[in-house]
Order: sequence, then structure tokens, then C-alpha cells
Amino acid sequence: MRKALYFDFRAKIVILLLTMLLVALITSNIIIYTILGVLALYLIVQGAVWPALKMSGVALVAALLKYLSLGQGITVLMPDMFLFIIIRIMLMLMAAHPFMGMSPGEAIAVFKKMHAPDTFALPVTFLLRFMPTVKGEFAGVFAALRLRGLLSIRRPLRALEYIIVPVMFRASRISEELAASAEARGIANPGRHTCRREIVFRKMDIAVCVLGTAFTVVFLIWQEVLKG
Amino acid sequence: MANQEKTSIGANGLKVKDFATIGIFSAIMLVVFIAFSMLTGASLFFNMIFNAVCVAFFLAPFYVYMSMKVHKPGVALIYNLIHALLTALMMGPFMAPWFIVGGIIAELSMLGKDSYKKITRIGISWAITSLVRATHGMAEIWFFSQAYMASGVSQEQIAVQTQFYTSVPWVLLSCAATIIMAVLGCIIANRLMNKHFRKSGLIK
Repeated sequence: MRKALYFDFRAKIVILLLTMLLVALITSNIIIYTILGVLALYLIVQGAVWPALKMSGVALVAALLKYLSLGQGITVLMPDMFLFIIIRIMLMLMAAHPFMGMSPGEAIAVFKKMHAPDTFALPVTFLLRFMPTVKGEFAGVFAALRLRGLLSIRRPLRALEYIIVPVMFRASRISEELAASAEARGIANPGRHTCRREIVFRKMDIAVCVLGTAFTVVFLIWQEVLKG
Repeated sequence: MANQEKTSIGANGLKVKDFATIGIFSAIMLVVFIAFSMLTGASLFFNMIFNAVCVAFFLAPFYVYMSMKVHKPGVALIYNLIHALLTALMMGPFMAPWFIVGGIIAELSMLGKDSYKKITRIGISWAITSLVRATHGMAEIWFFSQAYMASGVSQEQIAVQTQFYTSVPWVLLSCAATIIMAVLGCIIANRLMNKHFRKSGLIK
């Protein structure tokens, strides 16, 4: 089995920005589906096979419904706009997936290297670390409430309180633990930051950026050709 | 004391634990917002007029807690900057300035000593933040229609959005409902703070 490739944070940012540009400019369905394939490949080479299949699967189902409904949407419950948004969100999530769950040490070392302001870099670092676990936090609270029979729509405000308060308690505790752990590792140290993973922009990262840019140019030219 | 000075990073004295609180609560708010938008996205009318209204109510406790826990200037601005980043990623870069300017206005509304401890001031900044979210769809039609159309949105969609977002009664209804629900959310959030978090000493 081939070892998963690991790209530098900055190379991932380039791919994310290029995807953002394409999502904002590309209108042709066939090009969007090609981008979907390229992004699935991008995730698979990084070892994220299941997320690649799951997200591209959701986008393809939306695309199929869009095709079957001839661009009119499936009844009032699933208008064309909804399908359009789903496909585009999946594209962005696929480009953003490699950032999720990055270790704070690695993220902060890269942000320091990029001279990003701490006021922006630190909250984003914690956000990236915590984002993949939010679903689990809510799932835990819902499971506990269901077990106690406290989840009821008869008293929505009470139910809301029962859901929100434990999530906030847990999030608050996690934020203090993460902050203490990050402090102990010297996150606030103004000097040079190092990381267990070497932060270097390798030939492979240059290659992925060049390839990403080349694909973007080809997709934009393809769009112009289709328009013409 | 020396250690405290060393760990203070932002110009306004925000510490690592403050950034952790902002980052983690922003993550929760973004995930709830995305999940709610995807669940209700099926109804174009609801999404256009009432999505921001409901979100203003649901997310108020998280915003109030985050503000009161950190109680230092910068919370509103950083939260809105993160939201601008998400918007740029999901909807294209043309809408990011809308959220950045909204964040600056929300932060300016918090000028003054101890404003991050006062629920009225937090309520005002949350109402501004929610209003910016509620009007972003309108801004797409009013100011960025060319960029919005270039993103591949169908003509029917633009026609429906234009119909509602250029109608004064609908715009007023959406904005007024957003402000009311944001304020109501903050009032309920303040009760939750008193009932659970002040007693336990998590916020002072």
C-alpha cells in the first residue's frame, strides 16, 4: 500500500484559494464535475479516501438530481438553488478538508513562518483543531438527553437550554485545556517556532501548486471556449 | 505578572486562552450555522428571509458567553473576520468586505470600559453582527450583482432574490425580525449565564 502524501500548509492554502476562484467563476456543469474529480484525487493521494468518496458522492447525487430535474429542482423541497449550493459547498469542503484537525503546533509554526498576525492566526488555529470534533460534542449531549428522555419538542426553550448549556460547558473546558497545553508548548513565545514535522516547502509542494495553477488556467480557458 | 505579560499577545491584551475561547466558540457557531442552513436550504423563501432570524436567536448564547468569558476588546471583530473568511471560501471573495466592515462596526459599538461585561452592549454588537448576516443576500443583489451572476447562479434564482430583496416590506420584515430575535436571544442567554455560568464561576 502506498504511503499517503503530505503537503505543506502553504501548498494547501494555494489549492484552497484556486478552488475558491474556480467556484466563484465556473458556471459550466461539466467543468464543475471535472474539478470534483480532481479534488477527489487530491484528497485520495493524501490518504483521505473515505472523506473523498463521501463528499464527492454527495455532490454527484446533487448533480444527478439537478440533471434529472432539467435544472428546475425536485419540487419545492429541493429547488435548483439548493442543489447548486450543495455542489459548490462540497467542492470547498473537499479543498478545505486537509486543514481539519491539524495539530496546533504545526499550524502555528506555519503561521509564524508566514508572518500572519497572532490575533488572526491563533483563533484560526484553535478553530481548525476543534472543528472536526464539534459534531461529536453535540452527538454526546443528544445521546445523554435521549437516554434521560429530556429531548422533547413540547418545550422547545427548555430543550434548547438542555442542549446548549452542556455543549458550552464542554467547549469552555476544552478551550482551557487546549490553551494550557498550547501555552506549555510555548505558543505565545515570540521567538522562532519549531514543529515535530519539518515545515519546508518541498519540490512536491511546488509541483502541487504548479499543477493546481495549470488546472485552474485550463478550466478557465475551457469555460471561455464553451461560452464562445 | 511577568509570565502574564509574556503570554499576552494581541495589542488589546488578549491571551492564549482568550484566543482559544474565540476559536472554539466560533467553530461551534459556524458548524451550527452551516448545519442549520443546509437543513433549511431546501426552502429558498425561508433561507432568504428567516435563516438569519433563527440563527440570530440560536447562536446568541454562544456569542454572549464568548464575549463575557473573554471580556476584552476584539471579540466581535475576530468573530466577524472568521465569518468573513468562511464566506469568502463558500460564496466567493466578493462578499468578504461586507462582513469585515460589519465586524468593524460591531467592534466599534463595543467601545468603552467593561462593555464586554454588559449584556446591553453585547446585545447591540450581536444585533449588528446578525444584521450583517441577514443583509448579505441583499448586498449580493444590491451591490455585487455582476460578481454574483458570474458565480453561475440560475436566472430564476436571481429573479426570485431580486423580487424579495428589492421589496421594502420584505427587507424591513427580515431586518426587524433579525434584530428582535437577536435581542431576545441575548436576553435568554443572559438568564442562562446567571443561572449556570455565573454561579459556577466560569464567568465573572
